[in-house]
Amino acid sequence: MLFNKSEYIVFLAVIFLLVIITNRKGLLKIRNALLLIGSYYFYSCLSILFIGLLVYITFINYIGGIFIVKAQEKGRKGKTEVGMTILLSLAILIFLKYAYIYNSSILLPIGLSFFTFQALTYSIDIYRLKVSKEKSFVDFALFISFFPTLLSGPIERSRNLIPQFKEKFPIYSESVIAGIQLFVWGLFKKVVIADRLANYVDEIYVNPTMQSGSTLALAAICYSFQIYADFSGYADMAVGSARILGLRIMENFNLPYCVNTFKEFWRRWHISLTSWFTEYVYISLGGNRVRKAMWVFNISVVFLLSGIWHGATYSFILWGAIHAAYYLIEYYFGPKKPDFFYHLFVFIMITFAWVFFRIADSSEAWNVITAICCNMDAPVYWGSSTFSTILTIVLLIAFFIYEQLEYRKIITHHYPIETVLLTLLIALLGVSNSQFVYFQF
Amino acid sequence: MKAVLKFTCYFLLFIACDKVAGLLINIGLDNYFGLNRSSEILLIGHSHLMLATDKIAMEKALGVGISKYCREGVNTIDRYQMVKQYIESPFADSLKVVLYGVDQFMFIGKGLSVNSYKLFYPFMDNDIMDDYIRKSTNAKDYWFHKLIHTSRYSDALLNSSIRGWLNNWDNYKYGNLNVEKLSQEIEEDNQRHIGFENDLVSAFEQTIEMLIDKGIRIVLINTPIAKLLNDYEPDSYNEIINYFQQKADSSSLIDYWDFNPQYSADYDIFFDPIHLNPLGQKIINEQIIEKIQSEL
Repeated sequence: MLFNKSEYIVFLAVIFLLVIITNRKGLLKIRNALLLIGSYYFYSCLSILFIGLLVYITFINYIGGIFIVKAQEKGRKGKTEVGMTILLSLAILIFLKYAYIYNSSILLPIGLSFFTFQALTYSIDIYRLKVSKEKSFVDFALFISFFPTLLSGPIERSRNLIPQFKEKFPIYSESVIAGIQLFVWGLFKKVVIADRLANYVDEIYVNPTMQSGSTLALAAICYSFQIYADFSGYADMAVGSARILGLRIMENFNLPYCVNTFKEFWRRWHISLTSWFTEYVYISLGGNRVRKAMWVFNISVVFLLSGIWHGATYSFILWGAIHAAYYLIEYYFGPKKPDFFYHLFVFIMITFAWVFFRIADSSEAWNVITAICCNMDAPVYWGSSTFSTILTIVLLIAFFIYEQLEYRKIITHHYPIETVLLTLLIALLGVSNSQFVYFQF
Repeated sequence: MKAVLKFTCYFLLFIACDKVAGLLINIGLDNYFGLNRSSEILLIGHSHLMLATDKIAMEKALGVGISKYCREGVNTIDRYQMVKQYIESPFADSLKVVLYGVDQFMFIGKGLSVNSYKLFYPFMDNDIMDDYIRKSTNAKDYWFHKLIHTSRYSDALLNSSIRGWLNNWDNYKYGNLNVEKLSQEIEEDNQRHIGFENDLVSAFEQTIEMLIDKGIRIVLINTPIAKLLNDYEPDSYNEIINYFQQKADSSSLIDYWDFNPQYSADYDIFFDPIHLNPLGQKIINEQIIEKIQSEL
């Protein structure tokens, strides 16, 4: 069951009704239990085989939390306990990701990286005395498996989500309507922008060496927007689903292509993962309160880990390394007041980095970049259906202009009439041919 | 209560916008396929016939109305419905001739759309097409497309609708057949095989019967296919050509025109093994005009 399928709408409507019925004092435990059952049902529709992994991660971190607290009660910090919890949680993730690389017939559980990192926020926060031990196992299990965040984030923090489960959800007509509007906007991004772009990008990248530089440049730009619309569309649908139920979860994207610098890009792209690495890795390494050489090392480690998180292939590691280089070069040599041309430069460089993300073979990715730089004379190939590609590019331009207006605060919120129009565009121009790109991570 | 009322208003607005959008797109489609006009000639076929004929040049030369109802990937079952859709419409009284595209692959399903009934979603409000789609699809898909008009269109249909609004009936594919590649594919036995699938043959024969019952002339028109491909399975090829000829001999209302003997070896006129390029279209269209004048 995916967010962009009609079954999900029915599922969400049923969950909403159940929450409405049970969202009152005295019934909150039943409400949370129903949400937990619903979340497990949601995951089982995609991969029933991997329910065991979800249970495993839940138990490891719940029991880990108990042991950490016990150690702290005995006057120790609980370093060994948190270390063991992290190790046992990450071991399965690392094993499956590496096994998948060496044997692609092994099924990689959808969302494993996301719910593992989400679970770790609880254990590490207990160790850091930021949260106390969760007494209700149901609420904890719901935090790990909460269906809007389960498959592709946002990677929530236990301190944000669990307290909301303890209270009556604030469900008002305004929040439900705002949730629906955000969901529709996310669906539009996914099926009208991302999936349409995917049709063109996939066609070009089947055999990139056969294409001209101009075609590869267009495909690279299209992929930059495809991955953004795909992933941020998913995040909007997740946040919208939670908001319909009266819950607030963190935003994962904030108009990342509208910004002028690499630093700002990383503040707005995959916010929940970037902030996870900042909070749990970068700060642990000393953050910026260290010597400059050490800080450079810390930044590099965070970006490399971010690349490895996506997959342990050279391409992803290279992608992380490229972004680390961008970040550091900009820090030392970047303009003080970035102008439009620097904005364009930032976008082009990010687009180049995405080529490594898209093409698993890094030598082929280099060939693509070389072709883009050196072979721009040949005309652009518009794909098997020129009309479809041109229509998609027109939609993309309209989408980008809309985002620019949002960034400049000319558009401040989604209007109901806009949602009606978006729904029509989804029905008319939407294509549904692929899973979400980030499910593979 | 206020929220429910607001929600209902926006829902009704969606329904209205959906209906209007569907209506506008269908006006373009009807115009493009000629389903909204009384024509003397109806062209029925898939991309093979679509790229071999020029509706505007034909109309100019013959001085009659032509409806070119050719859809990419339609099999003989779809074409039966397409013919039925036109001849049972209020515009059918003037119809004299149906040019029906035939080729050696028309009785095998492979190579044509598996779910070709989906091509007719835009015409779900027509009883004939509605019945056809209801029988071909599951209830969920049927009702989804029945209720939401804007869900009925693909990019290709939107393109056709826009062209219908712009009165643009050009069908061109630029380029030339790669003869070397085709030879290699034939050597590797990497081609469709000729065959006779009963349901497709039966739908074709029903179409012929339906037209004869109405007293409408039928021309089975075999526009050129590259000779290399025609020679691929000579026995089966001859069998199917004889079948078309026998059909033509069986009734004075049926003709069979085969342009292959004259043109199939001229590879300059092909875009690919089965589709003509603009040069091929011009040549064959002129030939059709010449021959059809005697039918009118």
